[in-house]
Amino acid sequence: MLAVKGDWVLIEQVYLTSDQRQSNIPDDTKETDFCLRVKGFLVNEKKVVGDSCIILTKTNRKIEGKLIDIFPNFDHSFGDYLPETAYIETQLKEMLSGGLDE
Amino acid sequence: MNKAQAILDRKHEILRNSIDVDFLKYKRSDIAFDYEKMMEETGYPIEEAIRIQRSLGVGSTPMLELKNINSLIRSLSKPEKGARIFLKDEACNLSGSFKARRAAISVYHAKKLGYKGVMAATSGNYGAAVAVMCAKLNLKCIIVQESFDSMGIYQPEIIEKARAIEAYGAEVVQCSVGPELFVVFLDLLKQTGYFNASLYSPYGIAGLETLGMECVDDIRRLTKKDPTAIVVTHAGGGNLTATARGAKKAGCDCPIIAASVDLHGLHMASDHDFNLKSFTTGHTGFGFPFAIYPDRSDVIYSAARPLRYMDRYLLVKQGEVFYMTEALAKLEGMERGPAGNTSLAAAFSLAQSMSKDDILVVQETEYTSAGKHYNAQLSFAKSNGIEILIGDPKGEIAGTTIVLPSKPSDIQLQEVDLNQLRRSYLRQQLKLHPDGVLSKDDLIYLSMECKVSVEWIVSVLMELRGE
Repeated sequence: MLAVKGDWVLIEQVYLTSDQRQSNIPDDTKETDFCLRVKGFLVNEKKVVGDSCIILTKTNRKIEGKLIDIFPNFDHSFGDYLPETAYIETQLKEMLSGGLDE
Repeated sequence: MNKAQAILDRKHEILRNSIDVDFLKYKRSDIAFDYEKMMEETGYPIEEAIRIQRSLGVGSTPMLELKNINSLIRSLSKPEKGARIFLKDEACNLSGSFKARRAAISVYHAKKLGYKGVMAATSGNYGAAVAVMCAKLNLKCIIVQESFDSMGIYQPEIIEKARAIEAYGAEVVQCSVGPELFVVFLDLLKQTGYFNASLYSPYGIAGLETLGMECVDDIRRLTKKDPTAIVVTHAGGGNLTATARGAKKAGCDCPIIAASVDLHGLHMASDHDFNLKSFTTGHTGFGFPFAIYPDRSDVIYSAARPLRYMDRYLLVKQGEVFYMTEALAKLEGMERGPAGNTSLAAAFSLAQSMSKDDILVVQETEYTSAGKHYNAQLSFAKSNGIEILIGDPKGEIAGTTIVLPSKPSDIQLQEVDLNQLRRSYLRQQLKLHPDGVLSKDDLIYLSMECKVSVEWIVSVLMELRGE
């Protein structure tokens, strides 16, 4: 995917490599790099996902990182239908109407 | 020297430039500082906080009696038992939570001092709250949040919080798991020269005292009585501290009861455990460490000092809070939370042991949405291999199972031994000052910090030192 100058993009920056991390953290965390993700407008003329690039953030900061998404959106949801929770409504309403004794 | 250490070494200087509180002015010894003087000289008087909040569209939220839930409580209680629960619908604030109160005062203060922008380190509702106030007062805003694990997987609730922050025009800096977030925060404060709208500053606390006062005023207006107790979801300690202080300023000295979701067994700084939590706040991963050591925060002396105000501390399980979240929607028509409903789940259990004449206040709700909704959280938990069971929530193991109570009477709070917590607080003090000789002033300070007598402090310190 190609991003051009001015496109809204997401970058990732390795802020601390695993060997630069604090000593007092769990081992599983220490094995990973400490990364930042920030969105902004692409400053370079043309870049593809995976390239190193520079963005201008909403607070006018220029920062460098690896391009990981172009026009990033939000698609988080209300989750799946969960059969496990269906009893709660029935139970509460029956108890409240006196129809069900615990 | 590595980059992180170089920034941490400048911590005091950076924090001094990003907030106008001269914390060290209140230092009395290596252990003690003058908390009340700091609050008096640097916060805002409550009348002024109310005026500022009104001008920013914050506060005066509805206080609602949960009549159907209260009927259910009575049906489960012994005769003459079953307190009435009233719920302060803080989701009605701009940005959808009580955090708007804290943000209003901090951002107003930043504007007054002439800062060009504001920063906050938060993965919670506070981010959107600060973003809203910065939008209203025309300031730049950066929120730094812990968001994703090393696989790049985001906690859905934190995705929603990032969405809201962006919706209000602020910049979000998202971090992978780990305490180095604080290094990034300091680094950005240094680069931008923005104001540190810390949750732990006197402004953040002053802004929330209005909630404690409103809770008391509302209950007096509605019932002609004082609240018997106020239940507060507890994490970093600010909510509890400020609610207690506000209630006292309204002339009410009722017990302040903390409630957290029990996440024992999950490590808060573990990359592996990060996405095994179904709650991002209001849990023991913040509640215990911030009670034991309040000054672990992003200011020199935290204005949030929970053990000073905590009368009881109750734990509930994730499954219990989810059940109550569903009950609030289905019985009261209020789709809220879930994290804000932690105190509601605790109150539901507690009310059954109280007199039917008692009034129990649950002092907050928060908005719900995609990502935050308990359905989103349970689905995410399942996708991470966590089993969703129906049964006795006492058997829930955080990170492995979520147990929805098979019936409402299975919601049973667990009481934390506050003296154990106080001992841990003192142990932490001894660790920080191993050779310190404690003066009489230090002992008085510690007794106020722990809400116990000086004699208790002396005896526990002797025991801990093996004397």
